[in-house]
Amino acid sequence: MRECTLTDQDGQTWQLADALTAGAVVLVFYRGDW
Amino acid sequence: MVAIALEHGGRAAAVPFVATAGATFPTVVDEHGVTSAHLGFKAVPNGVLVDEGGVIQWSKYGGFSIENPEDVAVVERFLAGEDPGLSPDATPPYQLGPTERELVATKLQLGQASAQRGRREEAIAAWRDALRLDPENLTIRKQIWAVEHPEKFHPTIDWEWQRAQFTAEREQEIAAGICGPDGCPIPPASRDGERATAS
Repeated sequence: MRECTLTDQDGQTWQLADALTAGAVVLVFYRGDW
Repeated sequence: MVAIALEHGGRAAAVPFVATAGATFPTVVDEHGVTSAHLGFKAVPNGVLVDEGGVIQWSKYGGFSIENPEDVAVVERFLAGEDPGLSPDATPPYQLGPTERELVATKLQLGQASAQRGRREEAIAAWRDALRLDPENLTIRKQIWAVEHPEKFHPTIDWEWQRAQFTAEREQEIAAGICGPDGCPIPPASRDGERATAS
């Protein structure tokens, strides 16, 4: 999966590559107030 | 576990829901539709399992839910190091070409920037441009609805209104030649200068 850089709920930068250093990642896509 | 909020209104729009949900895992906000453009999905909720090497091992586009025991079982197998199994067959009706993808992402960014500056009509216009390019993209469509008709989303979601609104808009798109009678299988690239026959 392509690397992506997003911002978390606290305004901190989040990168997929950083998360993967801790192991596999489960991504759940949603939109809160459909 | 990471939740990705597809909120074209930006972090400010996503944070209240995150607080209410009380999730113990991080939530990141994809306000420009980067992940949806890359993965090609057009609606939520979705689940994507990525191994330590960055390879997608399983994905479910549409209907993924932690309230679904089958979905939970897949995630638990995956996190235990086991084979999650085959991904459900959920092929999008069409895939945008790289140029269209970039243009949609640009329009989404423009809309988000306009919204942040309080330029509501400019934001809606940019998002409508994105939707014309990607008419099956429900995340874009619902973003427009949420801004134009906030009363239909708070305090409760009016699902019946959404269904009626989608039907009405789809009829308009068919009349305009954007979509065929069975949906929107007409590739965007073939609309220019000629009408493609809906399959």
